[in-house]
Amino acid sequence: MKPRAFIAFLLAPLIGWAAYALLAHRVAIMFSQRWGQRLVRAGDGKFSDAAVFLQHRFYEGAWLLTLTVVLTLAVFATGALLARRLTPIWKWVPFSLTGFVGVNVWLKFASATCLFWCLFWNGKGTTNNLTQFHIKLLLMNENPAPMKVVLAGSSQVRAQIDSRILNSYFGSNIFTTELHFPGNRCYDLLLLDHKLQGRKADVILCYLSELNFFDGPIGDGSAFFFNFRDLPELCELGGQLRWSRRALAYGLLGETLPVFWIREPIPERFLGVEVTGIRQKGRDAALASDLEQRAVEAAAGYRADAGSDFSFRAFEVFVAKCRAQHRTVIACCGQLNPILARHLNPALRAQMRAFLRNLAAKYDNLALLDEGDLPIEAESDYEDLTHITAEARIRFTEALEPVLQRLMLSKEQIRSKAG
Amino acid sequence: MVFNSITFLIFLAVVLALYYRLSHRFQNWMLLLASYLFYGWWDYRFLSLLLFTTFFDYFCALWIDGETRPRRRKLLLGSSMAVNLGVLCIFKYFGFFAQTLQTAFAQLGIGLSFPILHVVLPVGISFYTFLSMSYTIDVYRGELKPTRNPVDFMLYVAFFPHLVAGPIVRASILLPQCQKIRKIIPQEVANGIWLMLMGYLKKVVIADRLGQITTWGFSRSVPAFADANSWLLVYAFAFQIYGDFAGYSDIARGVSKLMGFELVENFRAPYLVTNPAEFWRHWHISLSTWLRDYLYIPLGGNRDGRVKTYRNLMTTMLLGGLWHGAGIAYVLWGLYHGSLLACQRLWHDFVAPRLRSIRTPGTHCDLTVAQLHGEPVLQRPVGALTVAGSLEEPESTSWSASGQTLTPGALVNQSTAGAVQDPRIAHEVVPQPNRLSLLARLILIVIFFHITCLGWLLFRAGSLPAGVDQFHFVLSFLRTMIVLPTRIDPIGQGILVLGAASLFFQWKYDSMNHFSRWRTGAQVLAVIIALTAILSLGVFEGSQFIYFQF
Repeated sequence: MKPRAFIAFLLAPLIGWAAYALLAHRVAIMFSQRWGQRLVRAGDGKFSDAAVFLQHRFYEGAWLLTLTVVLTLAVFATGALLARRLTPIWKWVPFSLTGFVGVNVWLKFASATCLFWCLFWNGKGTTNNLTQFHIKLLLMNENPAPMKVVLAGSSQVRAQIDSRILNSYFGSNIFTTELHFPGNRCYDLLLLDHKLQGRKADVILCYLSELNFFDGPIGDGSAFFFNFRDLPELCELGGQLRWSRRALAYGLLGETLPVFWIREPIPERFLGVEVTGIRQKGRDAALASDLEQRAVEAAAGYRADAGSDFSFRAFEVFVAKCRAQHRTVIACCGQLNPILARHLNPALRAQMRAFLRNLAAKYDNLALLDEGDLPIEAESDYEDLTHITAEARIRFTEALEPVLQRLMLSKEQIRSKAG
Repeated sequence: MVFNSITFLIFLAVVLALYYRLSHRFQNWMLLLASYLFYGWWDYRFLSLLLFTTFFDYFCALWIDGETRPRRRKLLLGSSMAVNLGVLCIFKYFGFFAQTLQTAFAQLGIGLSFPILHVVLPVGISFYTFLSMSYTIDVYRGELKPTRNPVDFMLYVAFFPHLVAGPIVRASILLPQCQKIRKIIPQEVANGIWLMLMGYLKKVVIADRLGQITTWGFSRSVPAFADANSWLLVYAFAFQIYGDFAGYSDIARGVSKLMGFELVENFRAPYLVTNPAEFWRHWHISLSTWLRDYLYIPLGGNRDGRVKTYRNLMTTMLLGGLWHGAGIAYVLWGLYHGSLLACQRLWHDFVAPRLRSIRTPGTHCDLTVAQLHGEPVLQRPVGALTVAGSLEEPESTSWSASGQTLTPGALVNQSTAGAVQDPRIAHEVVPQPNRLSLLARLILIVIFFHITCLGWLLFRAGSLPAGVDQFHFVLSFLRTMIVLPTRIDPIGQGILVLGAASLFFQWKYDSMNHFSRWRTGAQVLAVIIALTAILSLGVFEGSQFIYFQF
């Protein structure tokens, strides 16, 4: 590298920070005046002030620039140190290794910024779950609302409850965001709790059905959220690695190598959503078109066994952890499409309800919305076996609003009294 | 055990750790055991078949070498051929032939039922059978002295990097490497590591990503697109099969280099060629040279007149197609390529000379005409003889020349892995009658790529799900390919990116082989990009290699 270029490279972070300090506010205001509304619309309820959003991104930009420069220097220095005693033929080895480590370290830090995840934003409905999850998680921090509600669970929670409707209902006092991950089971809620540590999340609203307890103990989210710190807890809960060996191994490998962890957003950006989603397309096409037949096939996977016991234990630990962090858990005792429910053993639902009732009695931070408190969906309200239609979703959310307000207020009152 | 599995990486680490600590004698023993473990991991019962083939050919070669009577020698060679091909037929082709005959008889109104064996196809059977057969043939021809050490021969056949999916390395190249003390050259180790990385990149990123597209696109009885977007699927398959097989070959070569072995290059730039003959000099080189030396030339090659040359070409390619799989689609694929080669030959025999004489009278005319008449005009020095991977080379000397200055076996004997495959040497020695301009070459590359793609459609039809009518599928697919599309499907983006990566590897194939000569900066950047791409863009479903089924 030429000396002038090297000096420019060294000065880049300083220039970045100076530009941030002098220009960020002004540029953010200017941008938001022209394109603010469009930006907020694209944000789909995740943020309401475009200028604040932009200012935060400028800050992250300066931070990422600094990180890049520092890491590049560190990589070169370490590489050179390690390559000192090597013959020229092997000099590439230490530099490649430190470079690769540098890439991973960069990704680890960068993934804590919203700007990084925004690079993988493909638009509403076509963005990868991991990207969406992190954008929502990071933007939640930036929202100034005094109370924050997180919708957690499988894709069912997203299908059932519309966070935008709740946000418009509650106004600026309560901010709701949804942090679901498709296929999440109860154990995955526990993994989500680790992600929420140190963040303001006052209420966690879960939509639970037989799917979360009886259709396997570990969901797809584990492949992205499980890490080494979770191993002892998994063993304590009686979790068996064989249940989802691949997902857990991927989680561990992802924690070690962040470049592997973001293995879905990167191909989506480079190869297009159509290519990365093609397997799902194939799977969907292979599903029986007759819902009745599909229900028979799906029902075979629902059973009360060691896996479901593990799920019950995991959910209890989740509630206990939330209590320790002064979080309220609202559990909706949800349902599945009646077509599927007909093929399930009725004892499963009874067991789930009894468990949730006992747990609500045991933990004061758990509020249970039982069957009677929630609107009941008919077959016609469902798109498939688990997800309701957009109209049914609006109905369900609107019906939930007063119940939630009552619940949250009473919880707040209890808490303030206790305080 | 497949190369793209954690099990293999652990296995390789253990093998290498042991290998570097052992003496040559024990290295071979250890490699042999490791190779049998590698094969037995898939199904240990088929180890007996591998052992049977190996020992039969080992003894046959020794007997052939010790026998002076021509008839006896021929008989021994015949028995070796019969046993090898017999085993291959029983496991691979019996069902196909039985069903074909049954259907044929049924159409004549004769109800015949043949017993059909329901046996799993032993993985890599076509590869190690050809490997073993070439050994006895070379010994019979007197081009190779048989080895007396059974361990060396067993290792030659079962050497794990090339055992299940090639390259089909001749005994004359690999056996001496098994026998002599191998040197670990740092440059070659570096090249080996890079080849492995590149192989994984081709497999898990290019082939497996595209594999998801083709699985979706071809796993239905009706084409996925109603218009020319169907071409996208065929492109995807073309790049997938290249990535899959070239990736395997690269990993095999890379692993071998780590142990001081040198396997032959199996792929160069097959989609950057302008004609069928060139394609077969760049695609699955070890198979095409095998077919040339052990089938095409024994059939008469191009020595017995034009008609017989065409016949030999078609027969060779038909059997080459059948080697790939027991199915009518593979036979048709072979015939398709056979007819392409024959058409090229026809062009060179009848059309090209007239065109040339009209356009540029006198320019290289003597050479061309002489070549076309099959005269041995170019008596090239032995060192410059570089007919490497061509099944049919209208422009080159040794094949068109009736003089037969060297036997094909001798070509192989003289060739080292590097020298044989360096196409530049041929260009230096053989004057090119008409050098194409860059634009013309580009146009020809694009045209020939599409011709190759049509062949791949046939090839892919061979592995359609049971119950799907292959002919109907291919025909309906072809019908969609000529319908003008209103827009390019978004999957085109992924195919474009992965196809470009595949073409880049082909374009730079020569420098890809010489990683150790790159500048350190380029090496570092390439390794980081490769590792990052493998981990972030790769598919980790432990998918098999396409060529395992052959």
